[in-house]
Amino acid sequence: MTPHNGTPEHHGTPEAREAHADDHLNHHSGYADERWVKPLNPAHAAQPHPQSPAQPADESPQARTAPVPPRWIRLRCGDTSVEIEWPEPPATGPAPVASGTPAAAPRVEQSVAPEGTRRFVCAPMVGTFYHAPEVGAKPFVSVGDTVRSGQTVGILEIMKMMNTITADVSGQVVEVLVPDAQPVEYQEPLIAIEPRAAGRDASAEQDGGPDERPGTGRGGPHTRQ
Amino acid sequence: MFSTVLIANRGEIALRVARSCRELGIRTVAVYSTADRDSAVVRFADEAVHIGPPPARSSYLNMPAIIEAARRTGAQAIHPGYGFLSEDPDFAEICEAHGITFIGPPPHVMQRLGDKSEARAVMAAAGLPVLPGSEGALASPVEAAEIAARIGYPVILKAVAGGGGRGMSVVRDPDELAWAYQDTRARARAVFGDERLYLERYIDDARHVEVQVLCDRHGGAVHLGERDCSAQRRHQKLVEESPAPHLPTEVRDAMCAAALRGASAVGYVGAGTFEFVVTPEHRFHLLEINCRIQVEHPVTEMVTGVDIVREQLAIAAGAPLAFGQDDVVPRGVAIECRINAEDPERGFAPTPGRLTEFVPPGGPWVRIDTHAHEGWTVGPDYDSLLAKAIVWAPDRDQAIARAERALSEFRVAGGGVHTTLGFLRRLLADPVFRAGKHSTGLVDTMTSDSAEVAPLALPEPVS
Repeated sequence: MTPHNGTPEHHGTPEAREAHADDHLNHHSGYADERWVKPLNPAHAAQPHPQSPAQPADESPQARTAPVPPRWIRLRCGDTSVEIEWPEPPATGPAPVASGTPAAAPRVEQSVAPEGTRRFVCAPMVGTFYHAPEVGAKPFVSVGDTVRSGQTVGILEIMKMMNTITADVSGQVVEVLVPDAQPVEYQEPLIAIEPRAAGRDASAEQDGGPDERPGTGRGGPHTRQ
Repeated sequence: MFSTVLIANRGEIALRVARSCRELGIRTVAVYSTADRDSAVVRFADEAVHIGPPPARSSYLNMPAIIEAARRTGAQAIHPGYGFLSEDPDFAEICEAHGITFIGPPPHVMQRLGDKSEARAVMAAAGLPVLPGSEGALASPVEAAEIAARIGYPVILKAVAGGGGRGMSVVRDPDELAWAYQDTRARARAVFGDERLYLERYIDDARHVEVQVLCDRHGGAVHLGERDCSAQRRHQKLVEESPAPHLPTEVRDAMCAAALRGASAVGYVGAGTFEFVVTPEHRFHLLEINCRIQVEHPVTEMVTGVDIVREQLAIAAGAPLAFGQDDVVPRGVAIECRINAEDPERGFAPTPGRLTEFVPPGGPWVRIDTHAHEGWTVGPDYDSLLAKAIVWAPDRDQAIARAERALSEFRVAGGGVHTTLGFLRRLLADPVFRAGKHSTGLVDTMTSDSAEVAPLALPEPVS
C-alpha cells in the first residue's frame, strides 16, 4: 500500500479511479466534472455511453468483465486526499497467468485475430496524452515494462479533465507511439503491447470491433498528413 | 477574418461551409465520426480530426471532443452548420468560454428563440403576427382542450424545444386532443429531452414562406427576401424556391419588414430565418425563428448573389455588413430539390446502402451541393439527405424546366438505395405545383394517391 498525500487536483477524477472494473474512459460519463453535470444536450446526456448495444462493433471487453477487487482508491476530505494503491505484480518475470483472470474470463465470442500479435491502447476521446502523472514524474509505463489489463498507462486531458488510460490487455509494452503531452484524436493508437504469450490470456482479450484494430484508429488515408 | 475555422458538422453542409472558407483563404478543420472517415469534407479540409464513433451523441454532439479538436488545431471559430449543435446555446457558451467564436447568434438570443413558446411571446410583443394559441407552455391536457376550444380546431401541438418540423401533431377533432397531447409529449421528450408543449391554431391550405435575415454586430441588418417551402411532406421540406410564387409584393414587403423588426427586438446577430405561415387570404403569422444556416439557403444565394456562409463568417469576425438593403436585388427564380436516400413507395423510409453509381447533373445554372460520390456509403446514423439540386432561371417556368432537366440527368444507384428523384419529378410535373398554387397539403395528397404502405424494417447497413 502506498498511502500518500496527493495534490487534490492530481490527474484523474475520483470517478475514474473508482471504476476500476469498468475503467475504459468511454465507460464513464466523460463529463464527470462539475461543469458537465448539467446536461448540456438532451441527446447527449441521455446516453453518455458512446458504445451502446446498438453498436456491437464498438464493444470492448471491459463492458462484460466481472467485478475485480479495487486496485486504487482515493479518499478526499477538504484539500487533502489520500490515495491507496494495491501493489502491482512483479514487473518482470513470468506473470501469474491465472487461468481465470477476471478480465479475460467472461469473453465469450472471439473476434478475428489481429494483424500481428501487437495490441494497441487507443485514445477513447480527442484530448492530450500524457505519459506521466505530472511533469517530471516517472512515466506510467516505459518500453519493456510488463503491464496488466486494467493498469494505468497514461493520462488523457479532455477540456482540463484528467482521465486515466488503462491497458485492456496484459503483456509487455513494446512501443509508446505518441510523445508526451501531444494532442491525439479519437482511437489514435497510443501504446503497443505484446500480449503475454501464455494460453488464452493473449487471445481471449481481443478488442471487439474493427475500429479498434491497429491501423484503423488513426484514420488511415483520410488523416491529413 | 479568421485564419482557421473548424466545421462541426458533416455531409453536404460541412463541405459547403469549407468551400466558402477556402475562397476566403481560411484554413479549414473538419471533424468526423468513424462512419465519415472517407467523407468528402474530410478529403477537402486542410486538416481533419477523428472525434468519435458513428452515433451523433458521441461525435457530432460531443462537445468536449469538438472543443479539444478546435484547440489542438488552433481553430479560432466553429461553424456549426445546421442540426447537431447549431442551435445549442450551451455549446455556444462553451465555445465563448474557451475563446473560440461560435458562428451564430449569441447564446442568450438562441436560448430565447430556442424556446418556441417564449419566442412566440417575444415576437408578439415586438408586433409580429402570431397565430392564436397558448401563452407559454401547456400545463395539462385540460388546459390544451380549453385553449383549443376557444381558438377553434384544427390546432397544432408543438414541442417547446422543437424545430425542424419534428415534434408536432395536427389535431382536428377535440376527442383526439388528449391522446395527441400524450403522444406528442412522449415524442418531444424522446427527441428533444423536453416534454413541454404549446398549442396554436393550425391553418389548412397554408403556405410556408420564410424570410432570410443577416444582422451584424453593429446594428446593421438586411433581409435577403423570402423562400417558399410549401412543398413538404409531414413538415419535412422537399422543394424550396425563391421568390414565393404569387405572393403579393406588399405582403412580401410586410413579411420582410416584420422579420427585421423581430430580429432587432432580440438583438439578433448572424444569419437567421423567420418562418411564416401564409393563409390563402395572404395573411401571415410567425411560426418560428431558426438561428442557423438552413438547408435551403442556396435558393436565396442564387437569386441574390449573396454567399450566406461568407456573410456568417464576416459577421462572426466582427465586420459590419458590406452592403445595404438597397444592394439586395433578387433576380430570377431559383428552385432547390432535395434528393434523399429514401423510398417514397415505403413512406419515405431511409434506404441506407453503398452507392455504386452517383452521377450528378451539370449544365448552365445548375448547382449541386452534395457530399456523396460513387462508393460512398449512406449510413443509418445520420439524415438521408444525399444532394441538393439548385437551379436558376429568369422565370419560374424556365426554372421548373431546368430542374426537371437536371433531375432527369441525375443517376444514383446502389444496393438497397432508393431516392426521391422520381418523386421530385412527379412533384415538378404536378399542375398545382406548376401553377404555383400549392400549399403544404400538396405532397400528402400526392402520396395518398400512390397507396402509401408502411415502411419495412431498415436493411442491414453495408460496411
